[in-house]
Amino acid sequence: MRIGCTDTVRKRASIFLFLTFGMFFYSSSLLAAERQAGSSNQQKITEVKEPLVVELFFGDISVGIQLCYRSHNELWIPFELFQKHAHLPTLTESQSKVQIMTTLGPIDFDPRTLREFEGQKCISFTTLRETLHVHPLFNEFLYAIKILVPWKPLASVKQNRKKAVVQPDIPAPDNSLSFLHIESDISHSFHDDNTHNYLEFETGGRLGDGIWNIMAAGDPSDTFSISRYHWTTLNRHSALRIGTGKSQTYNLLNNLDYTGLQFAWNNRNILQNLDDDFYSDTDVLLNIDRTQRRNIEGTGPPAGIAELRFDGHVVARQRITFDGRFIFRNVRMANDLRITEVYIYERSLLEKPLHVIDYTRSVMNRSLAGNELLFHGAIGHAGTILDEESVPNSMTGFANVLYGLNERITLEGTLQYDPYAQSFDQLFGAVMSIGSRWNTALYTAHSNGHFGADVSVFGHGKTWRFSQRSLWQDKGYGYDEKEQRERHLMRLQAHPFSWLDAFIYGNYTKEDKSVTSRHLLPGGTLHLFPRTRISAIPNDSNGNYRYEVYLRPRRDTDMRLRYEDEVITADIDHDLKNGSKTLQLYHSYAPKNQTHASSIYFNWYLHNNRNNRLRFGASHIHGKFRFSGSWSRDINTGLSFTLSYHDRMFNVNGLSVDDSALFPDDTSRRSVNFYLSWDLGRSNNRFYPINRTAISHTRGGMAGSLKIMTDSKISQSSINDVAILLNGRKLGQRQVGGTFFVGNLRPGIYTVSVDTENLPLELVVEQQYLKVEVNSGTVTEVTIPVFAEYGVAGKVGTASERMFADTPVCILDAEGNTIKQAKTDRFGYYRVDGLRQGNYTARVTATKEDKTGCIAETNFAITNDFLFDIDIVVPESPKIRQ
Amino acid sequence: MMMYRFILLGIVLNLLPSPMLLAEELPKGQVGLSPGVFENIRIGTKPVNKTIRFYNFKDKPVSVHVDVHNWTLDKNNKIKLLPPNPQSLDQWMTINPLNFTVPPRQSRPIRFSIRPRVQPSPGEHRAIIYFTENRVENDTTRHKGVKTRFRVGVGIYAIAGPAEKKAVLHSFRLDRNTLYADIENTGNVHVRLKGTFAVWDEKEFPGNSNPDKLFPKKKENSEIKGFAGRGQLNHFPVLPGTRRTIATALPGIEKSGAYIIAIQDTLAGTPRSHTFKLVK
Repeated sequence: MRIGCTDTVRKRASIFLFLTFGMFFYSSSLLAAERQAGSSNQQKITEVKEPLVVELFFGDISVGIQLCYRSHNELWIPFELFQKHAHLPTLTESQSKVQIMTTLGPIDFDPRTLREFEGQKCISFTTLRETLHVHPLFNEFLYAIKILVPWKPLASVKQNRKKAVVQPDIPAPDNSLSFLHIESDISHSFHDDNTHNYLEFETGGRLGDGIWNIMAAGDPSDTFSISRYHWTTLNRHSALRIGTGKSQTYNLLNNLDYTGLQFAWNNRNILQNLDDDFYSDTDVLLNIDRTQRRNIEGTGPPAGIAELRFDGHVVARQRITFDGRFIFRNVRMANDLRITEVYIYERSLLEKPLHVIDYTRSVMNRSLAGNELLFHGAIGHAGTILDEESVPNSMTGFANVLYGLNERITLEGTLQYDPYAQSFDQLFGAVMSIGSRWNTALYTAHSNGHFGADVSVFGHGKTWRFSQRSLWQDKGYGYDEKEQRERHLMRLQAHPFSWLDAFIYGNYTKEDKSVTSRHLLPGGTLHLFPRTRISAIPNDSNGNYRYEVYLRPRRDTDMRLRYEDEVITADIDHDLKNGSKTLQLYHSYAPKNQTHASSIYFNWYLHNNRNNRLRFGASHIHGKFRFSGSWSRDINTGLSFTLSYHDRMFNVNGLSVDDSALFPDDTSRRSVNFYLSWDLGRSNNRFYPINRTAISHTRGGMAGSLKIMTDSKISQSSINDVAILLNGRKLGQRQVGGTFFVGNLRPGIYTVSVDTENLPLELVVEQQYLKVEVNSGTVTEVTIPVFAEYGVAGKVGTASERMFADTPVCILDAEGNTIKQAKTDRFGYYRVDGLRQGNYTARVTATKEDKTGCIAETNFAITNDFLFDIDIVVPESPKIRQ
Repeated sequence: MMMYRFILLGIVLNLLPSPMLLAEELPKGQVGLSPGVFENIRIGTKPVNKTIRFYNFKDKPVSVHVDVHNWTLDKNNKIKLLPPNPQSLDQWMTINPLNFTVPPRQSRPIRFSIRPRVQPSPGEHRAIIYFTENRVENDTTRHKGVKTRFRVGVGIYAIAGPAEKKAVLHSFRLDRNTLYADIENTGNVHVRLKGTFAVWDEKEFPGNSNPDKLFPKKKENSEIKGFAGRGQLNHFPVLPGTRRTIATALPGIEKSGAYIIAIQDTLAGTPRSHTFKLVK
C-alpha cells in the first residue's frame, strides 16, 4: 500500500469548496493570520491546523492548486505529490526507515515523520529541508509553494539512461578525407619587381580507428616541404601517434622534434590530456605543456551548488553531493597565475555565496590529482625526416612520468636522448602546494654532462600575488658552447584599493660571470574614474618604463597617450556610425630628434556587414604623404581574402624605435599583396566551407546549408546570421550565404534546430529537429530544407459591403483538396498562411464542417509574394450560419 | 464547472512584488512575449522586418493563433478595435506564422514585415498583434478547476513622414491616493507621460534640489530614514488628437502622517517636476 494514497475525492472537493465559497470565509482569516501574528486568538487558530489552498510548483512545473497545511508554524505538503514528482520509490507502511539512493548520495528517511491531515499523509518543510536536502519555498503574496529537488533517485536515472539511446537521423561519416586547408600569401614589390609566394596546405581525415593529418608549407618554387604528418588513435586511457611529434619535456631540457612512435597513458582518463576546445597547429599531442588540466575537488554544504570561476569568469557549475564533496574534472589551467575560485551557494546562484574557496594555490603547471599517473614516451628519428631542414642522422627517444603523490605533491621524472648533444638527459622534479597561499616547483636536470636547476615560487593573498622564478645552468649545459647562466625574475602585485594596482618587478640575469640585467622597479595603475586610468609599468626584461594614460571621453571614443622608448604616441579610436565606420588616428613624436609621424585609418564595413571591410590609410612623415588601402572579405565560413596596396605607408601604430630614436625614411616599399585562406570540409563526397581549427583528433563538426527547396525570389546566398541551435543552444558558429558550420564538438548525437528569427519572412523550416551524429576528426553534412511559403488575405462580404464575421473560409488546392482553413474576424477579414506556389481557391462554406456547401469562392495564384485583397463576394442572401 | 478566462499571465506574475521571497524564487509566468511593444518604426517604401519571440514557460505545449488589427483607444483608455482601411497598418503587415505550437519551456520567433501597399499618409499608423491560445480538445494534462486561456497583445506604432511629438499637460493633481494627469496630444504621434515618483515623510523630505537623494537607488531604499516608497508613473499612451486622463495609483502607506510626493516626469520630451502633499 502506498503511503499517502488517500481520499483524493475528498481533497478535490475541499479545493472546489474553497474556490467557490472559501474565499469568503478563509481568505480574511488567512491574511489576518499573516498580518496580525501577535493576535492571540488568531495564533490559537493557526497552531491547531490551518488549511492552505496554494499553487504547488516542483521546480518550474506547476502541479496545480493543492491543499496544504500549516500547523505550529510548520508547513506541510501532500507526500503523495512529493513522492510522485521527486520520483521516489514506493514506500510501505511497515517501513520504519528507508535509504534512498540519489545522484548526490544516500538519504536516510523515516516515513514516521509524515503526519496525516484530513486523511492525507503530508511531509513538513523541516523534513524536506533537513532530511531530504530539498529546498521548499513559500510565497505568501502569491500563495504558492515551490519545491526545488536538487537530486534524482538513482533508479529513475537508470531508467532514463535506457531511454536515452537515440538513433541519429544523420549518422557521422567515416571519411578518409575530412578537410582541406589552403593558405596563400602572394606579394609583389614594384621597387625591385620581385614576387614572393607562400603556400600552406593541410589535409586530414579518419583512417581506421584514428585520424591522420598532413601539413606542407613554404614557397612552391623553392622551399615547399612536408613539415608535419601523423596518425593518432586513442581510447579512454591511452593514445598512440605515429609520425612527427615533440618531446614536451619540462623546459629545463631541450624540446626535441622527432619522427616515430609516440605513446601516452593515464590511469584515470587520457582525454583530459588530449582534448582541447581549439586546434593547435603544432605537433604537440598532450596539453600539459601548453596548459594544465587537473581535477579541482572540495567540500561544501550537501545539495548546495559549487561554481568554478577563473578570474571572476564562471566556467562550470555542479551540485554538491550529500557527502559534501564536489569535483570539477578536466579543468584546464593556464600557465599564468589565473585566479581559480569555487563559489559555494547553499541553494540558489543568485543568493550571496556561503564561501569562496580559492584554488589558485593548489593549481600549477604539470601537477596531477592525487594518485593520478601519466606516462608519455616516444622513440623515433630525430627531426622531421621529410622536411628539408638538416637533421642529425640519429635516433632519439624519451620517457616521461608524472605521478600525483597526493593532492599537493606531483613528482616528475624524464629520461631523454638528445641527438644534438649526443647525451642522455635526465630530469627530476616536484610540484608542491605549501600551505594555503604558496606553490613551488623544484626541478633539476643533467644534460650534456652538466647540471641545471629551476625553482619557481608562487604565492597569493586576497590583495596580493607573488611570483618568482630562478634558473641556474652550468657552462656547457645542454650543448658545449652554452655559457654559464643564472637568472632570477620576480613579480609582486598588490591590489590594496579598488582604484590601485601596484607592482614590483625584479630581474637579475648573469651570463658568463657578467651581470646583464639587474633591477627592482615599482609600477602601478591608478583607476581615477570609471573611464580613466593611468599606469607606469616597467619592461620586465630591460627595466624601461612604459607610461600610459587611457580615457574614454565619450561612449564612441577611446583615447590613449603613451610614452615608451623615448617616443610619445597618441591614439584615438572614434566610432563614426555604430561600428560600421570607424576612424583611427595615430601620432608619434620622438623628442630626441624632433621627428613627428602621423597616420590615419578609415575603416568602412560595407552595408554594416562585419565580413566586408574597406580600409584606407594615409601617413605623413618627413613632409611626405604615403597611402595604403585594403579590401578584406569573408565570403563564407571557410573562405576569406584580403587584397591590399601599400605605397611606402608608414605605420605609426607599430612604431618602435631604438635608442637612436631615428625614424626610418622608408619602412616599406610600394607593393601589392593578396592573401587567401580557404578551409573546406568533406562529407559524403561534397565539400563545405568550414573552420579547420575547429576539427581535431578529439573534436568534430557539422557543416551544411539551409537549402531553399521551392522557387523563390529569395536567393540562398541572402540567408545570413540564422542561428543553428544545437541542443537548443546557439554555439560559436558562422552562418553566411546560406551555409553554416559548427565545430569544436565532442563526439555524440546532437539535436539540431533552426532559430528562424533572422530567416527571411517567406522562408519556413518544416522539420523542427534533426538528430545529428558527430565524430572526432570528421565533418557531418547537414542539409536543412527550407521552403518559400506565402499567404493570402482578404474580406468576405456582399457586393453592398455587408461583411461576414466569424465565417469559415477554406483554401483549396488545384485538385480541390482543402489544405487550409480560417475564419473571418469581427470585421469580416481573413488571413491564411503557409501557401506555396500554385493555384488556389478561397471558398466560403456554410459551416466549417460542411465543406461542400459552397456559398462563394475566388480563385487566385501564388507566385512569389503575399497576396492581399483576395476578397470573396457573397450573394446578397446567403445561407451562412453566423 | 469550466470557466474560461482570457488573462495576461505572461508578465503579470513576474511583475508582482514579493515581500517574502527573492524575485528569482517566484514561480515563473506561463507565457511571455519579447518585445512587448514596437515604437517609432519608420515606414516608407522599403519593407520593415521585425521579430517577436513567444516564450512558453508551461510544462505542456501551447497552441497559439495570431491575428492583427487596427486599433485606437476609447475615452476610458480601453483598446477599441477598428475595421481595416487602406491606410491602416494591419493591411500592410504580413506575419509568419499565423498558427503555431510552442513545446514546453521553449520559445518561438514570430516574424512580421510591414510592406505598405499605398503611400502611407504622414503620421502614426497603429496595429496590435494578438496572440490567442487555442482551445485544446481532450487536454488530459490540465488540472480540474479553473481553466484559463491567454490573449496577449503586442502594440505596433509606425510613423510615416515627419513626426511631431507634442502634448499639453492641462493638469496634474493628487486625489486621495491617486495621481491624475490630464494630457492633450497635439502632435501626430502618441505620447506617454514617463517618470518616477518618490514618497517621503514630510519631516524627512530632502527637498527638490538634490535629485539623487530625492530618488534614491532601489538598493538604498530600505536604509533611508523617512523614505516611504517609490514607483513609476503610468505611461499609458495618449493618441494623437485626443485628450485623456492618466491615473497612477500610489503604493499603500500604512503609517498615518503627512507625506510629500515628489515626481519627475517627461512628456513629449519636456521634463517637469512636481510635489504634492498627502495626509494620511
